[in-house]
Amino acid sequence: MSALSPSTSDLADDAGLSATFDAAPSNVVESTVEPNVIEVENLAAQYRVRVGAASMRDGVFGRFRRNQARARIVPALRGISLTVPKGAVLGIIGRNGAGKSTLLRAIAGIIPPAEGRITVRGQVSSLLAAGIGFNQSLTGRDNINLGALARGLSEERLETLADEIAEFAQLGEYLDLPMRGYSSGMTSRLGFAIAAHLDPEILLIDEALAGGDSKYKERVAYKLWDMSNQGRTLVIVTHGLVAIRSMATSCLWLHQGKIVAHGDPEDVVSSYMRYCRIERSEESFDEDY
Amino acid sequence: MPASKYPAMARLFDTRTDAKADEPVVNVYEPHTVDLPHVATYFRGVWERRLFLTSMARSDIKGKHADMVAGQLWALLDPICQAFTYWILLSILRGGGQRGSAEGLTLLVASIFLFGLTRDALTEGARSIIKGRGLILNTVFPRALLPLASVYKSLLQLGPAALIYLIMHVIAGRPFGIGLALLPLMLLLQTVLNIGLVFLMSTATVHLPDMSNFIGYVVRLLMFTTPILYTVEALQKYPAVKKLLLINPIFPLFAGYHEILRGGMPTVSQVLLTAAWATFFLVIGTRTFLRHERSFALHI
Repeated sequence: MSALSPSTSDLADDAGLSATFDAAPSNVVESTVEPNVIEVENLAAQYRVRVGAASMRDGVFGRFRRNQARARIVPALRGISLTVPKGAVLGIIGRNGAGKSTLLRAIAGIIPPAEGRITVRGQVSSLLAAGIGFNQSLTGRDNINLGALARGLSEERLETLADEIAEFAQLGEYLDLPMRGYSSGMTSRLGFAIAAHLDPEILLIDEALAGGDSKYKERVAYKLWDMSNQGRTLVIVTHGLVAIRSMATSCLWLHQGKIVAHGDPEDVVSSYMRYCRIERSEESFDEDY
Repeated sequence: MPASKYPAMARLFDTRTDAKADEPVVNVYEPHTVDLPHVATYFRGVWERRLFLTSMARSDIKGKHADMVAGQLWALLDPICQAFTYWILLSILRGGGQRGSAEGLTLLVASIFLFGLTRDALTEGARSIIKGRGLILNTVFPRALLPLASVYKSLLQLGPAALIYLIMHVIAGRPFGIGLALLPLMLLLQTVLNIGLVFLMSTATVHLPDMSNFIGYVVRLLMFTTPILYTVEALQKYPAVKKLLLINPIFPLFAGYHEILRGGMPTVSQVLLTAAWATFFLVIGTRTFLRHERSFALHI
C-alpha cells in the first residue's frame, strides 16, 4: 500500500471531487421503470491507420511487395456489452489505450461500430477531447455559438448561452478575444462549460476534470452532481479514481478494448488499484493510471 | 452545497429553454455500410442547421483576417490587389495603351474572380472535412454542413470582388446587355457544380490525403484550359485544341460568362452543357459523400 498511497492522494487532488461528493446524496436509480438510456450490445470498433511510403524507393516499388501494409487496422474495442439506466453515473477507467475514448465516441454516434449495436435514448452532449473542436483564430464567443449551432440549438438560446458559458468557465473579457490567446486551462474549462450547458439528457465527458484550479473543480463537481440529480445520465472517463468512488453509480474497467469488470464502483476501483500495484511492481515505473 | 454560493449557476438551471429536450430521441448505431441514408431526411437536418452553415462561413472569413491590421478591410483589398496585379500583367504583355486592353482586362479580372469560386471548392472545400476534425470528433451533425459552408463562404467573398469589378466595368465603359439577366442562372449552375465537386473532393481527401497535394496541379491545369487568360475567339485558329478543351466542365460556363460580360447572351448549348455538368457532379458528389460520411471520424 505504501507504494500506492502517494499516487492516490495525487489522484484525489487531481480530481478535486472528494470533498464535494462525500456530502452529496446518493443517486436513486429506478431502472425498473425507465428503459436503459444506453444499451451496448456486443460492440466492436476499429480504427484504420494509413501508413505512407516511408522512402522514395518504397513509394516506387513498395506496391509490388506483398508484405507492404498500406493501412493497418487497429482494433479498439471487442465484445463490449453494457447497459446504463436513466440517471446513472457511469465511470470508465483503464489505462491509456484501453478504448475508453473510443467507447464514448461510439456511444455519441461519432464513430460507427464495426460489429454490434448501440441504442441511445435521449439527446447527447459530449466533451470528448478537451481543447479540440475549436477554431483557434475565432473568439471564444464564436466558438461557443458554432458548437451550439452544430448541435442544433435554436437562435434564441444562443443569445444568453455564450454569456452563461463564459461565466461558468470564468473567461471574463477573454470571451471576445481569439482563442489563440487562451491558456490550456481556459480552453479545457470552456470545453466542459459548453458540453454541460447544452442541456443534454446524456452527458459524455472524457477527462474533463483535468485542468483548472481546485475552486473550478469544485464548480465542475457541483455542476455534475446537479445534472445527475436532475435525472441526467453521465458517462465519465477519468483517471481520477476518487471521483469515480464518490460519484459513480457503476464503474466500467476496460483493458485492451475488453471489459475487465463492470459493477459497483468501490469493488471495481479496488481491483483496478490492485492490478495497477502489481503492474507497478513488475514494471520499473509507470505513471499510467 | 448551498446553491446561493453559485448565483450564476442557480439562474442557469432555471433557464432551460431547449424545447427539444422534451421530445424522445432514440438513436441506434449499427455497423457502417455504404448504403445511402434517407436523402430527404438528411437534407432536412442540414436545412435545420442552416444557421450553423452561414455562421461558420462568416466566422471563417472573420478569422482569416482577425490578426491583420487592416482586418476585415482585406475582404475589399484582396480583390483590388488581384485586379491590380492583372492590370500590370496585361499592361506589360500588351505594351500598354493598346486598343482592346480595357475589354481584355475586365474579362480577365471577372474570370479570375469567378474562377475563384471553383478553385476554392477544389482546394479549401476539399479540405473542409479534415479542417473540421475537432468538430467532427466531438459532435454529431450532418457532415455535409462543412463542405457546404465552404461553398457559401466563397460566394460571400465574391460580394466585394463583384463590387470592385462593377466599378471597373463602368470606368472602362463596358456594355450592359440583356444577357446580364442570365448571370444569376450561370452563377447558380456554377454553385451547383461546385457543391458536387466539393462533396466529391472532400470525401476523396479524407480517404486519400495525397489528394490535397494533387489538387493544386488539377486547379492549375483547369485554369489554363478554361477561357480565363484568353478568350474563346483566340482559340479559333486552333480548332483541334478548342474541341479538346470542351471536355473541361467549366469551359462552356466561362465562355458563357464572357458573352454576358461583353453585352451578349450565352448560347443555349453553353447553358445546357453547364447544366448537364452541374447535375452530373451534384449527383455523383452527393452520393459519394453521403455513403462515406459516417466513416469520416475513423479516418481523420
